Amino acid sequence: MMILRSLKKGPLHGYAIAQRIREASENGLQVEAGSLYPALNRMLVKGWLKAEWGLSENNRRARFYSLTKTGRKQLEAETKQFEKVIRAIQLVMRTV
Amino acid sequence: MPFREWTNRLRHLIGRRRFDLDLEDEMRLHFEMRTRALEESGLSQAEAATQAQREFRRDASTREQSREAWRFTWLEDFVADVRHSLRSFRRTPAFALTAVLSLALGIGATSTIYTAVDAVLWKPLPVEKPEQLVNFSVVRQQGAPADGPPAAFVSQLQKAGIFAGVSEADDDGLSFSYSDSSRAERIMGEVVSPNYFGVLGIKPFLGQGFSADVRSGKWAPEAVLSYSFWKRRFGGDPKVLGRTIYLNTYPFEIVGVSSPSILGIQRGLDDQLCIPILPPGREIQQIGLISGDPQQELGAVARLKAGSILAQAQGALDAQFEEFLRTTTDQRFRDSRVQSVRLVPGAWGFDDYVVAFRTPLIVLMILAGIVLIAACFNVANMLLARGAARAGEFALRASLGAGPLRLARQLLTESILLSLAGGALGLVFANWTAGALFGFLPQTNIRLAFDLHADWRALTFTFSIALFTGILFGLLPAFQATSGSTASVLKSDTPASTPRRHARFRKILVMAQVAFSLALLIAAGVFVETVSKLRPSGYAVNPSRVLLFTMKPQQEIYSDQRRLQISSELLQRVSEMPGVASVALAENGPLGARSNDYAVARPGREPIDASGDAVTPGFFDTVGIRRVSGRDFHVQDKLGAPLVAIVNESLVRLLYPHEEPLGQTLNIQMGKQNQSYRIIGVVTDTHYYDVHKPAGPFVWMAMWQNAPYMPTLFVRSKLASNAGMVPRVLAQFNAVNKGFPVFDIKTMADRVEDSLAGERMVANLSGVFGIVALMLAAVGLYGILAYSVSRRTREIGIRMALGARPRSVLWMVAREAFALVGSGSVAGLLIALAAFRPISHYLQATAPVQPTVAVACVLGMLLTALCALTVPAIRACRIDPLRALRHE
Repeated sequence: MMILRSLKKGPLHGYAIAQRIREASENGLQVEAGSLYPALNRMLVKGWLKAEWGLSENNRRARFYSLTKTGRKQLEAETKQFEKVIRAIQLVMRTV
Repeated sequence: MPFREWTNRLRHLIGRRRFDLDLEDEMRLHFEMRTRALEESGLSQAEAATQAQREFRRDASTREQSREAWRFTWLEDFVADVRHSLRSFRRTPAFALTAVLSLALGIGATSTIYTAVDAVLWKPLPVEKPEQLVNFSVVRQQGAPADGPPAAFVSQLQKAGIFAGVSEADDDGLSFSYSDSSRAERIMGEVVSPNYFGVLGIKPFLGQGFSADVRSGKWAPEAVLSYSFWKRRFGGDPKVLGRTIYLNTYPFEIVGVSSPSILGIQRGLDDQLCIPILPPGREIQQIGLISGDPQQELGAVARLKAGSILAQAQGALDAQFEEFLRTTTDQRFRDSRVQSVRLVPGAWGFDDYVVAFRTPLIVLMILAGIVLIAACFNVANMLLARGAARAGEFALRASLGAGPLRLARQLLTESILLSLAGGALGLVFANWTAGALFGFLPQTNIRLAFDLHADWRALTFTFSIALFTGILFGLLPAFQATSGSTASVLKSDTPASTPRRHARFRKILVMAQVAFSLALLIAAGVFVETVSKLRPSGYAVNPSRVLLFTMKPQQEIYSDQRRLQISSELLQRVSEMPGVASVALAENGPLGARSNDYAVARPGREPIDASGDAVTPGFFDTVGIRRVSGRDFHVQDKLGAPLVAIVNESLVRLLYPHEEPLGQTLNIQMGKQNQSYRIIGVVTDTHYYDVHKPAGPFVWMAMWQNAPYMPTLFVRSKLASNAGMVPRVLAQFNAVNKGFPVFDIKTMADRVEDSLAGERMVANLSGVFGIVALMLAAVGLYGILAYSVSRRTREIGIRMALGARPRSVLWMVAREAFALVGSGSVAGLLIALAAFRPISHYLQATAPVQPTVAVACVLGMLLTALCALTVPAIRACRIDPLRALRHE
């Protein structure tokens, strides 16, 4: 979900995705290459992402991932589900 | 799995190497960027590299997991299975070849018969949306329903708007000539409403069909040729459009060539061209059938409106028909001879010409199915034997972690591969043999043709049969392979330790094969017996020396007088030819496609039904029907002379049981006329029209007292060869007149064989099927015996070491074989006897199971078993006791 979210604004390459998540979480979350690439590939197979080769900011050949239509839909669905769960947890934490 | 994911995985499978390189690249980039970032955060170059390395420590597993995400497990497994199977077939080519050939025979037989049944009976007409077509069934107060509603009612329907279109169509033989110099030829012409091609939705191959003028109701002499006629008669010349042809001497312009697939709406009828019917009230003298006579009743076909169903249309039709009966001026319908008109589905056209082949074809379909089952048993048997031999391999694989399902899938893949290969080869067989099947079709004055191309229907059928049989016979060995215990197989290395019940099951399979092939052989015997019993006697005096020529001087062109004159001149000329023993004409003749029935009576008594024909003097002697008493016709029995008739003994028995028939008066009802004939002669009973029915009462009239319509010339030749005779007789026809067609040239013997076409087809093919099944049984028997001998090598070795003689070893092997064949034969005999009752009910006039035939079949079976036994028996006798024991 976080990977999908980080791609919402536009295509990014693998390292940038990890970077984006780390920055957004203020270093709270570290996405390791060991779990990032399998996850990216699983989403490619499902057709949520597509990948294209392009040039990175420092002119290196890099693979840019972007959301497909189904990917966008998936992100929406997952975000909604996530918010529901968080809200529920918050409610429980507040009352009990 | 969604489709998208499927294609993604497939694409990955193809570009696997590329993917690995990409992943490598990408991860290296990630690593470098991370290192740089760490450097920037203040670490030294070496430290940054170490740190990044630490983060990347599971580099290989990352790659593996990423790859895993893309894997297409079952497809890759499948490919591996197929590779493995092919490899194992290459290792045992004899097995694979036998299995594929067995299946090819079984599937080929089934596929051939299916193609034929489909072409003859089941395939819808090759027109646009055939399911929308309906035919009319006219229900009368008396007799069977007819196909043709009155033309006046059809034109009323065309205006009523119930249907998307209504068209009439009928067929008749026409005399066709292209130029004045050559002899007229006979063709079958389809006479249709101008909107015919539109209603059926047929796109012509050349031209536009009938011109717009004709379609709008203005008639013009236009003809659309059938594709096959155009190819045959005009060599496929595209410049044929616009040329003139003569039909019954009337000039027609060729305006189109029909599409190759459509042969008309009469199933099987080889129509050669289409011409438009005249508007109501108009007629041309030369072609009676196309006149716009509102009273005539032609076959009709209509197309339902899109979305309309049969029941709705029927309701509207009933209302229209009531109105028609109320308003018609035609007295015949006012008398309400016709009660109602019913709509019937018309997707299959009319089957009048093919209905005779339904029963034979379906019997053959069943027989072919039995051959296929026998082939399946054979292959299952072979696979079981192979499975037993491979028990070690499977046990090893199982112990290395292959699940039982995985093993079963491997075996199923093998059997399906075998059956698909068999199916492909079977299709090749079927392609060869389908043509041969139609060699049995009788071609008479009406020619039949079928589109026998293996289309998608035949392909689908063949491959689903192949797939189905593959799964069927593959399940057994798969079950066998997965049911054994791994440890016991691995422990002992001898094949003797495979479970006994598999061997017993294989024996049952072989027994069933023996039983089926014996039943098939006996059935073939019964069918052959049927043919010879049905083959009509009474034409026994050298029927192959009697030549037949049918001619049709069109009555529209040749007057009654002229036809009589032509016929007698022809008889005169041919009788004077050297080598001609005798010559005569008959309107129908025996065992042709045409027949007549009349009501005949003694004056003042109730009439009985009798068949009839008109012949010239000398006919009985020419054909070989024995005369019993009285005289033959002679030339003085002509128009104006007292009417005379010759009858057969059956008629005498029925009408004049205890009296002298000669000189008696017989009333014959012909149409509306009822005339009195004097009986001048009696002949023996023969099967004259239908060989399937017992010879009934028959009356012959003198042709010279009426006029011939489509008579056949019978020439009994004294020469040894017919080849020279035919052109010389044809030359006499040309000398008399070239304006009428002569066709259906054959011998009396040909007619006898044609009359039994269906039975001969069943007899010959069931014989072939029986022999194929017998061969399959022999292979199965050989397989089980060879297996049994190899399994008992040690036992035989010990016996021989203890002093058993080769004879007793031989007996041991033979006993097993004959036990199998014996029990199989008993079962086969029982099947044959049990199946006989329903079959004889289904096929009329079937001969009973002859004990001699059954005994001969069993002997044949034993002989085959003996052949199958030889090799294993010799091998058993040659076992060297020392080696057999050391082998352990």
